[in-house]
Amino acid sequence: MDSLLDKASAEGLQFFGRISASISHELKNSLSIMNESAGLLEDLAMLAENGKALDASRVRGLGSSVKRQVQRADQIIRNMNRFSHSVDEPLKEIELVDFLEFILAVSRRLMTAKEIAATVQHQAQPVRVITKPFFLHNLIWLVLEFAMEHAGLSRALILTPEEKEPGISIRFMGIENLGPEHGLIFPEEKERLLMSLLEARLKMDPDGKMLALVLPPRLL
Amino acid sequence: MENINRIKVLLVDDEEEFLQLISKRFELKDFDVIGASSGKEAIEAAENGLFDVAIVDLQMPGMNGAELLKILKEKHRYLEIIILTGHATIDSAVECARLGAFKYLEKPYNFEKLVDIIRDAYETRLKKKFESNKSRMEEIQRMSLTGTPLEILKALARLDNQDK
Repeated sequence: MDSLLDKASAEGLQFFGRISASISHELKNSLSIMNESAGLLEDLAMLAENGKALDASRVRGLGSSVKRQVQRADQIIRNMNRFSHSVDEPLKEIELVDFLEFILAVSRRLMTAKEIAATVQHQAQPVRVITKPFFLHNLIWLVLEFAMEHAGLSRALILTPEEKEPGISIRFMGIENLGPEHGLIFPEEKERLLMSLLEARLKMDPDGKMLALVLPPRLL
Repeated sequence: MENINRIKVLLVDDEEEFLQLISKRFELKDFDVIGASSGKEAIEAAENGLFDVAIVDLQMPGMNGAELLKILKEKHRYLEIIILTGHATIDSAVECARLGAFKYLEKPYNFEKLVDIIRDAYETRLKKKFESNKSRMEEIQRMSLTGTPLEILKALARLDNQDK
């Protein structure tokens, strides 16, 4: 029989593929802008060769555009690298504000497609947890996907990590109209699997406006 | 002043910087370009102006490129639509072909190739319109012999509105 870890890994592979595809898409957009900037520079050079005065400010603007896109692509690759290496770390101490911001950064395009803007509420003190980072990322993404489907009119979600004895909680706010019937469809099997692996619990606010993922501070 | 011989291109992409750059390059190729950064904006632009070719990004916030393709084809049957995507898949290419896309290209692409495809799309549009006009004119000619004045007027109106 497959172990819990094997089953979660199979689910994780699907998640890894989805996020990687989204990251590569974003990288391609950045390359496309650089491609068009280079192309326009060539067009302008050709016009200059044919006697048209070269507009220096336009050339400078294209140089700045390329620099901006190089920085953007560099950040995308850093995130991709961090995401890829998260698979190597079976157990690690993570700081949740930083971790949640990283999750939002690598899923920005998927959220934008759903017209969702998500932010992390910063805390005065760091909120740390020892856990399996890749599987926690997967679980948070699944909760985020559910939250996006039930986001309110503002289409804005706020993720708040906090220490709440005896555990650590991540609150997902900006949701509307969750009723008892949603408890029947969420969490599904794949979320339950990850919750078992991470010893996590999911709580739904009685007024249907918030979900909270509760984690143990230290996973053994 | 608008030049009736220039190809009119509707460009739809949520990356503003990409939209600006490629618009400039198309203008240097003597195309008339209008940019739209969402499906909703594109539908409004298509209602307000007569375009020959639309270039549509597949993944956009809200309405995606395939949904936009379907709506534009339903409302403007002679508008030829080229799909651009940063994430090409066989499934989406097949879906876009089924919905009537003229071509499906992956980013980053060769600009000169895209320009050639736009010109091909424009020629295809003219041919389709010509064929349609021809059969409508034949219909009107027949009707002028046997039809009532109202029927003839209706047929002429259909000819006039065929791009809508």
